[in-house]
This record gives sequence, C-alpha cells and structure tokens, in this order.
Amino acid sequence: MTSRVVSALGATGGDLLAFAFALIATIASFAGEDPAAYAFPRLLAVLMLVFCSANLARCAIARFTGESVLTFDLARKIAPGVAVFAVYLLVARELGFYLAALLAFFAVSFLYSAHRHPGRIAIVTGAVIGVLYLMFSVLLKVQVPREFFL
Amino acid sequence: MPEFLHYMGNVFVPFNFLVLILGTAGGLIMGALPGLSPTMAVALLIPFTFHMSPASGLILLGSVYTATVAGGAVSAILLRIPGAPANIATTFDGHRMVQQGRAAQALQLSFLSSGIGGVLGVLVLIFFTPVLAKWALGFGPSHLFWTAVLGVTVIASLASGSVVKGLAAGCMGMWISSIGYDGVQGVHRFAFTSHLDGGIHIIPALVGLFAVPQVIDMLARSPGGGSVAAVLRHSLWQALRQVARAPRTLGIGSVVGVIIGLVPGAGGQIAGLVAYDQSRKFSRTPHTYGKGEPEGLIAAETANNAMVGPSLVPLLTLSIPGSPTAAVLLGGLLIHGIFPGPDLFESHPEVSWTFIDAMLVGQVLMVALGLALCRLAARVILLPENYLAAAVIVLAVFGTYSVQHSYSDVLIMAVLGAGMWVLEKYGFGAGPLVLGIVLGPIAEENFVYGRTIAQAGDGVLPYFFGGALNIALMSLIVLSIVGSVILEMKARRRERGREAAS
Amino acid sequence: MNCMLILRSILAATIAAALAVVAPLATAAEYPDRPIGVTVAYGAGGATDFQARIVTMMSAQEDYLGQPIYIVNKPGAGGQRGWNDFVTRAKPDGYELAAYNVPHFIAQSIAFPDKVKYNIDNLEPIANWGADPAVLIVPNDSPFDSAADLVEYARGNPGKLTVNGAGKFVGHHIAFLQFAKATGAEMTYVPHPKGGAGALKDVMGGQVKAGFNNLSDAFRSQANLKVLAVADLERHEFLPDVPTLREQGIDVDDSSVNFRGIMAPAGTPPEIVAFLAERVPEMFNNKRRVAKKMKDGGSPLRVLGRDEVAAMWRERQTYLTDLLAGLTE
Repeated sequence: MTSRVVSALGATGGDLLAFAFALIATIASFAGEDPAAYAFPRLLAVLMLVFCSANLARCAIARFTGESVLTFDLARKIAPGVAVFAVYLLVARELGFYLAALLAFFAVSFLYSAHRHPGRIAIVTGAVIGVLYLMFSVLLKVQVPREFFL
Repeated sequence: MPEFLHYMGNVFVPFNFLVLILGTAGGLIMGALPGLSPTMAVALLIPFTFHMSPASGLILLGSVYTATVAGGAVSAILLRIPGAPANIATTFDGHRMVQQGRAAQALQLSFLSSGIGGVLGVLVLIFFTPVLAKWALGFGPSHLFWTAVLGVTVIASLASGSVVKGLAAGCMGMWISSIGYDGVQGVHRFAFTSHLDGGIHIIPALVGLFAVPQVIDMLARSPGGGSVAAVLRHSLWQALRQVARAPRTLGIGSVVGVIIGLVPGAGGQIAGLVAYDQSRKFSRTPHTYGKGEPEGLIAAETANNAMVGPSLVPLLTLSIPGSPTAAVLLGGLLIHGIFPGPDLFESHPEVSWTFIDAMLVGQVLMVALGLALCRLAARVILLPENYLAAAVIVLAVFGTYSVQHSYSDVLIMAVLGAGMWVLEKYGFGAGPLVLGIVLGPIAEENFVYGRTIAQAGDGVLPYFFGGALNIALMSLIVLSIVGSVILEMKARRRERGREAAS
Repeated sequence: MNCMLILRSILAATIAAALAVVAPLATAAEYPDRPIGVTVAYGAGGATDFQARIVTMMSAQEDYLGQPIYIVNKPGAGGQRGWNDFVTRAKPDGYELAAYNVPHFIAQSIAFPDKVKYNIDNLEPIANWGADPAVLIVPNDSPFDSAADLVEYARGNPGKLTVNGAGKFVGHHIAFLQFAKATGAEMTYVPHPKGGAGALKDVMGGQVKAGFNNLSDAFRSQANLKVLAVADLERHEFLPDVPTLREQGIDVDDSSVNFRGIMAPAGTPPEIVAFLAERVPEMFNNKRRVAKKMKDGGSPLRVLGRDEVAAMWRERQTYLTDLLAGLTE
C-alpha cells in the first residue's frame, strides 16, 4: 500500500505541485479586496485550477502508472550542488559578487569534477571570473555589489 | 539607382566598417550569453555612441541589435536556454538536434535562416515603409489583446507534454505576471514579501525558468555522462542545400515575422512561435516537429530575424517605438539630433540610409561570422558539465542583477527556476510560463484600456468581438487549440498502434 | 584543444590578477569617490530616461562631480514603483539619487496617500533640468480644428469624447482635469498603460478622439497630428503657431507642465546636498554638449537651482491638493 502511494506520488509530483500552486493562487486572488484590480488574476487562477484539475483527472485515469521521475538517487546526486548555489545566493551581496562567484564556481566545479584536480579547476575558475569582470565591470560598466576588491 | 544603394559606400568607410564588425561580433556574443537581452545590450551601448558621429553610432546600435537577436539562438540551441523570449521556439527542435549530435548542423541552419529572414525583413523596411506604417497604426487595444491571447495559446499547444498542461502553464505565467504593482488600477497585488514589490521582470523569469532546470540536470549527469556524445561534422554546402530546399518554410517564417514585427506593442516575442506552429501545420510530417526537425528550426529563426526590420517601421516613420528595443534605439537616435518621422529620409538621408544599409550589411556579416564560429561554438557543449553548470549559474546571477540592479530579481530567478525544474520533469513547459509572463500584462492592460474607450463609444462587446481583424485573430486562436488537440490525439493513436504492433 | 584551453585560461587569469592589483584601494576619500546611481521611474528610451542620460553624461568631469553617473530604470505604475522603491530602500549617502517628474509624484502622493510612500517631505530637491508642457492633440484627419471644436462636441455628446494620456495623475491627466473643469464639459480620460509614446500612437491611429501629450514628443510627430493647444501660460518657442488654451478662452494654467530634475532621499547629509546643489546645475548648463544634445533631441532645457525647485514643489503641492480635492470623487 505505502509503496503504491510513494510510486503514485513519484509519478504525479509535478502535477500535484502545479495543482497546489493553482489552489494557493486562487485563494490569494479571491482574498484580495479590490474586485476591479483582482478581476484578471481571479479569472486566470480559476482557469489554472480547471486545467490542473483536468490534468490530475487524466493522471488518475491512467492509474498513476507513469514512471517515477523524482527519485532519492537523483536528489542525493544534485543536493551538494543545489546547496552550494543556495549558499551562494544568500551570501553574494555580503561577500561581493565576484568573490562569491569565485567560491561558488570553484566549489561546484570541484564537487562535480571527474578528476578533482584542484590546480586545474582553480585556473579555470580564475579565468572565468576574469572574463566576467572584463565583461560586466569593464565593458558594460554594470555596478554590482563588491567588497575587498572583488 | 535606389537611394539605399547610393549611401552603401558609407558603411564601408574603414572606421564605420570596423564599428560594424565589432558590433556584430559583440552582439553575437552578448546574445549568446544567457541573461543579456537585445534590449539591454543596446541600452548599455548607447553611452559609447555619445562620442561617435551619428552615422557610426547608429551603425553600432543597428549591428548590435541584429546580431543579438541572431546570437540568442546559439544558447537556445546549444544549452536550451533562450537568449531572449523570442528564441523559445528555437529550442524545440534546435536542442533536440544537438542531442542527436547535430549541433554543427543546427547552428549552420540557424545562422543561414536568420540571415535570409533578416535580409528580407530589412528589404521590406526599405521598400514598403510608408504603406506599412499606416497599417501598423490601425492596430488598437482589442487587437493587441487578442494577439497576446493568441501567443499564449500557440505556445501552450507546442511546448508541453499535453495541451492541458500547456494551457495550465500559460495561465500560471499570466497569473504570475499580475504580481506587483498594477499600473492601471494603481493597486499593489500579492505583495507577500517586499521582494515581490517590483513584480516579476521578464529577464529574471526567462533566465530562471530556462537556465536553472538545465543547470540542475547538468549536475544530475556530472561527472561523466554529458547530454551529448559528439558533434558531428556537417558541411556548409549541405546546410545551404537544406535551406534552399525549404522554400515553403522560409516563406512562412518571413511572412509571419514581417507581419508580427509590424504590430507595435506585441513585439517580436511571438513571431518565432507562430511561424513554427504554422510551419508544423502545413508540414506533411508534423509528428517530426519537436524531435529534431530542421524545418522547425528554420521557421523559427527566419521569423525571429525577419521581424527586426519591420519592427523599426513604426519607429522610423512615426517616431513611435513598437518594442522595448526600438524604444532604446529611439533614445540613441534623438541623442544625435535625429527625429524619426515621415520626413526622416528627406531631412537626414545620409544618416538614416546608412543606418538601414548597415543593418543589411550587418545581416550578411552576422551570417559569415556565425558560420565561421559554428564549429568552435558547437564545442561548448563538449566542455565538462561541471564547468558549464557553474558558469551558467554565475552568468545568470550577474545578468539578472544587471537588468535593474535588483537583488530581489536574482532571488526570484532562483525560486522560479527551482520550481520549474520539478514541473518540467512532469511535462509542463517553461515556454508557456515565460510567454504568459510576457504577454499577461499586454492582455490585461489592453483589455482595461480598450474597455474604457469602448464604454465611451459603442460598448464593450462590439469593440472586442466586432471588426474583421478581431474576428480573424479569434479564429486563429480557436484553430490553434483545435488543431493541436487533433495533432495530439493522432500522435497518441500512432503510439498506441506501435505498442499494439510490438 | 586542451592545450589551447589551458593557455587561454592562463592568459585570462593573468589579466584578472593584473586588474585586481590595479583596482584602486578603498580609502575614505572625499565625496564622491565612486559612481553615483540615478533611478529613473520610467522605462529605458522614454523621454525622462533619455533626457536623464543626456544631462548626466558629463558628470565624470572634475568641474562637475568627478564621478560618472549611471542610470537605473525602475518603470511601473506611472512612476509609483520606482519612487516607492527609492524612498523605502535608497541609502541617504549621496550615491543613490533619483529623477523626479513634477507634477506626477506630487499628484500621486496626494491622490493615493496610503499606497504611495513618497511626498515632498521625504525627498530633497537638488536641481531641475527640463520643463515639458502638455499639448492637446488630435489625429490628422480629425474634424476638430481647435480646442473650441472639441468642447462643443463634448457638450453635445457627454462622455463620448475620449482623451488619452500617459497614465493616471501624470501631467497629462492634470491638464485633462483642468481642461474638463474649465469647460464644464463631460469627457472620458483614458490612461494609456504603456505611457506617453503609446498614447501618442493611439491618437495618430484614431483609437481615441484626442489626447494630452508631451510637447517634445508631439513636436517630433507634427506631420501625423494636429496640435490644437499648449497647456502653459505662454506659447512655446518650438511651436510658435500653436495658441495656449488661455488664448482660446479656456482657463488652464501651467500646473501640468512636466518638470524633470534630480532629487535625493531625505536624510542625505547637508554637506553632500550642498555639494550636489552647487555642481549639478552647472553640469546641466554645460553649453557645449548637454545643452546642444538636449536642443538636438527636441527637449526643452530649463535649469533651476535647489531653492527654486523647493519653492516650485511647495507651490504645486498647494495647488494640486485643491485641484484634486475638487475633482476626484
């Protein structure tokens, strides 16, 4: 029984997520006070709910037999990289964009590298950040948050 | 001798030609990088033109504009990350070809058809501008409303596992676009956190929805298993023959691109999509579309670039920018004291014709540079994916931030991307979401604006449902949904038949 | 391939390292020691954005600010989004400035007191660079040839006369409100969702019967439009043949004239405000480049100092409070 639930969830996780989003969107749209301003989001939220329900109904007819797409193996595989990116986003402003990018680039390239050769990865990291600097700060003159030179 | 040939020599003055080459090369690179859109590239370059003569400055802007549009196809094809919303249709078949080892061929076809579409578009601009300007003015709020709805329904039927999922994703995108300030009512909608105050800007959404899922997939495959085993050689001669044998697709692409380019406000975002959809419907083998069909790629890229020339018609003759990029170009023209308008070609023939000639020569140069770089560019996908994943994320952060110096945009980009990764695994397309976000405000604003006008006139129903153009657009919407449902059912039946046979 | 990659990487890394060394040391220097951002609450390519870019282009010269100014566009809701963002988030350190549009931001602060977080008290004027009156326009093939024709039609067909403009509570809307009040006729204002350029297009295309728009934009489009009147006290040098509304017997003053300039958030140190108030008008008055480019672009330049702008803001505040109290609801 449990295994059937798990496999059904694995086969329809995204469909359920979309449905949940539609539901939240509908509630939020009807919670807004000004009917004139919320007319358009309300219409869309209801349409979204209709389409997502139809989609779920189709999954039900197919008895949730689709292949499980999200697996624990997959999650374990991507977790370190996603964690690095999340930390990168959280600290990018405090560390300065270039330093944070340097660290994140090195960490991800290293964790997911076949050879784990720190020297080679460091050279590539330096090169990529150098190109970024030339492009955004020198050529396009974009002002990004920076600390300690970087 | 036609006037535009008379001024052609100006383009080849050494300094101007150097500017043209640099602009084209730079534009190709900026277009190919995820997160840098044509509008931004042109806006960022305007200060450089301050110190140039008007003609050289405009050559720079014109060449960057044409090249970024074509360059956007490169990352769309290689990484499945469109450089601009306009390149979404390019991903459908372009990236499948890459997975089949046909990266070099896909890039060659893309540049060749871009060039053909682009040259045709500029020729339309040269010869038919006054007639078309009048036509463009006839486009009112009700027509823009239906055009936006058409865009969403077309993509919904194309980019997802099923039409229902596509429509759900399209509505989701349009709903997301209503977050933030509502300009018409002056109300703040769905401000759950202060990060959403500014609403969802299109570039962060595009980058997040397309780039982040790609990056996570790269992580899932690393180290080792890349998505692409090889880049097969493909001779230019073969590519030329292939393009030459697709006159119908080229025709559909150019006509659709020219017409949609003229519609002020809807912009070129949907030209590629509509052309792709039409080309599939007219094809004898519609089921090959989305599975690496070269004609799908040709249709999309011809239309994307055919729209560039005509999109400048309202700008040059009426001084009304029809797209955000045209608005930025207007700024660039005014800085040099050039007022676009009906007498532009009489009062500043030298500058305006040089500008148009530069776009024409720029298209040819773009094809040449693009083709020369094809082999090298195609090798990008053979780079170890750990580097690619890290580089795309870092670029996405920088590109997103530089749009409006907002860190909220960066966070929105990441959150949308993470959600999209899950949805995409279950057959929801990122394309309908992005198009929904682009076209949602156009639909809503034009509906409210049109309603105000209609209420002072004959009433809302005749205003939105009457008139030949409204009816034509509504028929196209119905046709696009019905047609796609039929195609989907046919495909299912074929699949079932195959299963039964085996 | 591999060799090339490594060679190229080394080259790029060397460049990056060199740049890091050359980058200036962060010292507590005199203001300003880094580039200054100016928020424009309208989109890139619009009249405000375009003029802001011209008038700030010389700021890097030592006689002016000695540092470049960069423009940040935050368009949305007729400017509300950019200005709200500015007053709530900008640090008052002189490195974050914004462009203002009067009467827009003052009218919005009066009309939407609970939605709008800015008003003339939490903003510091620095200097004004331009003034752009609203003009009354109709399509080329329109049967109306004067403001009086329009009024006559509106009196005969209450509510049927559609007049568009760039948005709600912008200069065009104020001009419309004054026009409607002065004539007593009932007509419909249609705010265009995409601002002045879109509104202008719809007048040319006959989507609406008339419109109020920027003089500078209408000036460029004269061949496709009829300009019936200027909503100002005097005729404008760009359009000497177009009468003012007052000349045509309609009592509309210059309250809708769109003033553009630079402001800082309240709380900016007085010495920085004083420095900017001294240097910025000089920068706007740069004859050789700024004034010339503005003239070439069809944009009327009008430079006002800090005190003049402050007085103008207060005067508009009083007038608009009265006007809007009488007209909305």
